[in-house]
Amino acid sequence: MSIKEQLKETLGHMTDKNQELAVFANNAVFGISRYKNGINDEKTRGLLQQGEELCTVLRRGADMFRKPQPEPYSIVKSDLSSLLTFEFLSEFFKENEQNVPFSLDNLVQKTTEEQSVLEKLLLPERPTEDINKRVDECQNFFASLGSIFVRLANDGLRQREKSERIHYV
Amino acid sequence: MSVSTTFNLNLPEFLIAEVFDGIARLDCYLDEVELTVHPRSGIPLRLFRDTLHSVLYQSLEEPLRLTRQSTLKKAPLNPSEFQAVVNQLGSTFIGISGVHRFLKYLRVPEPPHEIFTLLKEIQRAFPEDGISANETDVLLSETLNYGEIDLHSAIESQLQQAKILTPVPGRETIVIILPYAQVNNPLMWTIIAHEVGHFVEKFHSLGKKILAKVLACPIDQVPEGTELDWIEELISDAVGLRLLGPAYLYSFVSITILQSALGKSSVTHPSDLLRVRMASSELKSTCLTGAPTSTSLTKVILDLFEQKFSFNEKYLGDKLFGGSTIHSHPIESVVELITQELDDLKIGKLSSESLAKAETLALALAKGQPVSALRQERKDLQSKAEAIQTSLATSAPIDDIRKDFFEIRDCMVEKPSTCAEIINAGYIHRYQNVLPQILDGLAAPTIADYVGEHKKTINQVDRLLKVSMQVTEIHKLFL
Repeated sequence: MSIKEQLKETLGHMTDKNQELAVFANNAVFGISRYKNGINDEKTRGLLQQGEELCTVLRRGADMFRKPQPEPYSIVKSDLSSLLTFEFLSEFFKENEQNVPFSLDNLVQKTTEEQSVLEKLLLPERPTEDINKRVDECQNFFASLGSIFVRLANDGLRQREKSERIHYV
Repeated sequence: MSVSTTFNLNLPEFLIAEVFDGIARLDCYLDEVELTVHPRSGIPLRLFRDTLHSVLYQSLEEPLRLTRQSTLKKAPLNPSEFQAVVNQLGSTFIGISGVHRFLKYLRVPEPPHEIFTLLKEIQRAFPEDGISANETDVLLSETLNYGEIDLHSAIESQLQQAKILTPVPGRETIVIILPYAQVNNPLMWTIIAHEVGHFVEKFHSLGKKILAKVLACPIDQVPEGTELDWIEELISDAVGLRLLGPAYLYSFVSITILQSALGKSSVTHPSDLLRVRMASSELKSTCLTGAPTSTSLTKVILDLFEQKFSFNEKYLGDKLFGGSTIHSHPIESVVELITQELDDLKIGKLSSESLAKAETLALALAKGQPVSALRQERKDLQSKAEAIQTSLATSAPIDDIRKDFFEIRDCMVEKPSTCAEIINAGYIHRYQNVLPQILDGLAAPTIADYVGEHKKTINQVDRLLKVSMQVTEIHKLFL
C-alpha cells in the first residue's frame, strides 16, 4: 500500500492540508492583485510570500516524487507533507487531464517560473517591465492551483461524511 | 432582493454573506458553550476563538476588499480574482467544517425544545399513526451535515451479531442528526423534513413501490442499489418541499452551494444540481403560485446556484454526470410517481395561501415582532360594535346581529401560524434584510468590528423564530 493509500484511510489529514494549500494559492492571487493596484505593504508581501512557500512545497514534493521512495518514517515531516501533496496532485492530474490548464510534467517548470516572478515582486526595489508583463500569467497560475486544491479538499470532505447507518441529506 | 447600499448580492457577495454567517454561527455556539459549561471548557474554547478570529474571519478580508472595490468602481473582477475569491470562500467553508469536527471536545448544550414543536408539526402532516405516534429525538453531530439514523435497527443488528437479543422490543424512534453549530438555527431545521421523509419512506417501503412501478416487477424483486437509494433521496426531498416549500430549497442550497462537485452524483445520492432543479420545478408547479416575494427570491437563489455550478464547471472540473434517468426512466416521470404516492398517503402540503401569509409575517419579523399568529386587519371595529349595540336596542333580527357579531369576532381572532409559515417568513427576512445588512456591515474598517453586531442579529432572529414556534402552540389552544 502506498503512502497516499495509507493516508487515504485517514483522509482528514489531506483534506485539511489541501484546504490550507488552497488558501496559500488564493492568497498569492490576492497579493498580486494588491501589487497591481499599487498597494505594496506588509500585508501584500505576506500574501505573496504564501504563494512562494507553496511553490517550495510543490518543488520539494516533485523532487521526492522522482526519487525511489524510502520508508515513510524515515522522511522528515515537511518532506512527507510535500510528497503527499504531490502524490495527490499527480493522481488528480491523471484523472482530470481535460480540465486542468497545465500538465503534471510542466507543473514543476511552471512552479519554478512563477516562484521567480513572486521573488522579484518581493524585492524591495521595483521589478523590471519584463516581470510586470508576467504578473497576469502568474496570477492565473495561482488561481488555477487554488481551484485544484479546493476541489481536492472538498473531495476529502465528502468521503469523510460517508456512513452506513446514517442517511445524510 | 437586496437593499444594501454598497453591494448587489451577486455570487461572490452571496457566498461571502453565507460564509460569514457560518463562522458567526460557530462563534455563537461557543458563546452558548461558555455560558452553560464554562469553566470546564476554558482552554479549548480559547483555542477555538483564536482559530475563528485569526484564521476563518480573516480569510474573508481579501475577498471582501476585492468584491467591494469591484462594486464601488462598477468594474467586474478580473477572471483570476473572481476565481480566487470564490475558491477562497469554498476553502473557508471547508475550514468551518474542519473546526466544527473538533466541537465534539467541548461539552454540548441540549438542543432547544422548539425543534420538537416543528417535529410534531411534521409528524402531524402524516395521517398514518406509525409516523405521528413515533417518539423523536435529536442528536448533535460534529460533522457539518444533517441526517437521520436507524438507531433501532443499528442496535438490533449489533445485538443480533452478538447473539444477545433479537428482536429489540419497542417502536422505532425518529432520530434526527443536526450539526452543533446549526442546532439553534430554526431556518436549517427544514432539513428535518427531509430526514423524516427517510423514515416515512422506510415505513411505507415507498422507494421499492416506486421502483417496482418503474421496472414493472413485483416489489419483492426490486433490486437494492444506487437507483433505489436515489429514489429514496428524491422521496425525502419531495417530503421536505411539500411540508416546507421554498424554505427547504433555500436550506439545501445553503449547505451545498459552497461545494465543488454540484453535478456529481454519488452511489447514494443524485447530484445536488439535479435535486435543486427537481425542487425548482416542483415549487413552480405548486405553492409558489400567488406568492410574489417567494417567487422572486426563489428565482434569485436558483440563478445563484446555477452560476455557482457554471463556475465549478469552468474551474473545478464539475459536470452534470448522468443522473437524468433511473433505469432508463426520466427523472421527471419518477418524480411524478413519487408525487402520486405521497398524494395517496394524503400527506399535508404547504399551500400558496400559507406562503402568502409567510410574506406578511416577514414584515413583522423585520420590525422585531414574533410571528406566532397573523393579526387580521381590524377595520372599523368601533363603528361595528356600536352598530351591534343599536341593533340590540332596536331588537333587530337575531340572525343579522349574530352575523355582525361573528364578523367582529373573526376579525379579533389571531390565526396561529404554522412552523412552516414561520420558517418561510424567516427566510424572506434573511434574504431581504439580514444578508444585505451583513454586506453593509462588513464594509466597516475591519471584519472584527461587525462580528459582535451580527451575532446579536443571529441571536435576535433565532429567538424571534423560536418564540414564535412555541407561542403558536398556545394560540392553537384558544381557537
